[in-house]
Amino acid sequence: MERRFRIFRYIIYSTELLVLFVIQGIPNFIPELFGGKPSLIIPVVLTISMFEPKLTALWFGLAGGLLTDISNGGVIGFFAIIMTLCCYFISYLTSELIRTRLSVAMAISFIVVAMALSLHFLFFYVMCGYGNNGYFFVSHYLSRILYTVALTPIAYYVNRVLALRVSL
Amino acid sequence: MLGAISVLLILVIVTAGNSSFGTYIVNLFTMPMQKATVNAVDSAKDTQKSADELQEEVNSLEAENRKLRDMLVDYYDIKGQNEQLKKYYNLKEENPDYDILPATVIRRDPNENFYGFYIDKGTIDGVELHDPVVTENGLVGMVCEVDATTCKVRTILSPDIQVGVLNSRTSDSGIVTGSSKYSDDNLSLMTKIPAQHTMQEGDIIVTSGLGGIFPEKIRIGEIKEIKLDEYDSQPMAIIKPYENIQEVSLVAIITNYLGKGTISKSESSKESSKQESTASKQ
Repeated sequence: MERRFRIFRYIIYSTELLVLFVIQGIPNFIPELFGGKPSLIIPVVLTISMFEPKLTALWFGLAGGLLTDISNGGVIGFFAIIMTLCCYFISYLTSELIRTRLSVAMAISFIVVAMALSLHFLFFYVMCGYGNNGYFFVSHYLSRILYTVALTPIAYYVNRVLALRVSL
Repeated sequence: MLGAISVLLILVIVTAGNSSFGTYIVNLFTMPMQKATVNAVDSAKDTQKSADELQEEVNSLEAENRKLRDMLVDYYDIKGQNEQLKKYYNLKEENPDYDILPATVIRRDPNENFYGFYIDKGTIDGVELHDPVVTENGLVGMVCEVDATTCKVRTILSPDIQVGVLNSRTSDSGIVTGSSKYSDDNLSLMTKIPAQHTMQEGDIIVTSGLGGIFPEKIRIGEIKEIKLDEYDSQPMAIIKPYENIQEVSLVAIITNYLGKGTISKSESSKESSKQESTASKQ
């Protein structure tokens, strides 16, 4: 019975990721704030990993990372590797060391999103030699980081309800 | 009693002698009543239909309604395609060798830095890598990734793209590319301009056709400002593209044109003369 609930929950998570993948790519749908648009998938996989076991978090991190890479085009695997490792680690932290709360979710989301997007900026902007690094980071990446983190509470509460209600 | 009989007699006499006048008078008074009774009888007939007959009539009307709705959807679809194709009719008329494939922007990634986007055409539609992408207003970019059903377009706001261009008035050549500093304002840069150029603000920039990637004489934009590069003091121009690349939703891919993939004649003649001169020296 528990297994059935778990599978049903995973199906809902997967549908959630696919729907958000489509929504975040719709042109002119999500409003742009200060030059940035949010990545909807990253906060969702981070909050999923807070409520699921380590292996499940790893797979959903991988799926979310791959979807983000596909959406971005170019190199496949960049976000996949980062999100897989981060989600596994977050699941370990929340199951062994820290309590799962909104404030913890926000802090973790900020750290992971800032790290992931900063690395993206480093590898796909600075190393390509486009110039105006400081200006571009502030005008594009900073707003993207803050906008993405601002959506974490919604993802947290939705996945918390799913984790608590769709289970024994 | 006598009065009634006398009225009847008068009527008989009048109608017998002058039937048209009599008929007119009678119809004048009886026609509204006849009309009302006929309508009442007709509507009563409907209520006399059986429940099965009425249900059958409803079913057939619903089926017809569904069919008409489907036709309406097709109509709007074809109308949209027609509107899209009309935009490129002039381009096709001016350049009959172009194979133009209309496409729709389906995805813009939030992590995309220079407003690249995905469109709904791929290799099964005949799209190839480096195919130019245009709108009715001008050049937008080129295909940088392609799969079976979709492809990604790199725009002229990206520093990764370089388009050989000419000033349509002065024939000064240059390269249009994107810039991280100007891409947010929907502006591109024109570099590698000759030092003795005679360009002015407002001049129209078009593709030169050199290199075999972009066909020649496709409009790109107009010069907004001419200034010196802050690093090497070479002249450069800020180009305002005719198309709003950050919000474009309908584009067209030029999948084939005369001269695609070949270097232009002026370039090839320069190369062949170089080869001849080296051969004669040997």
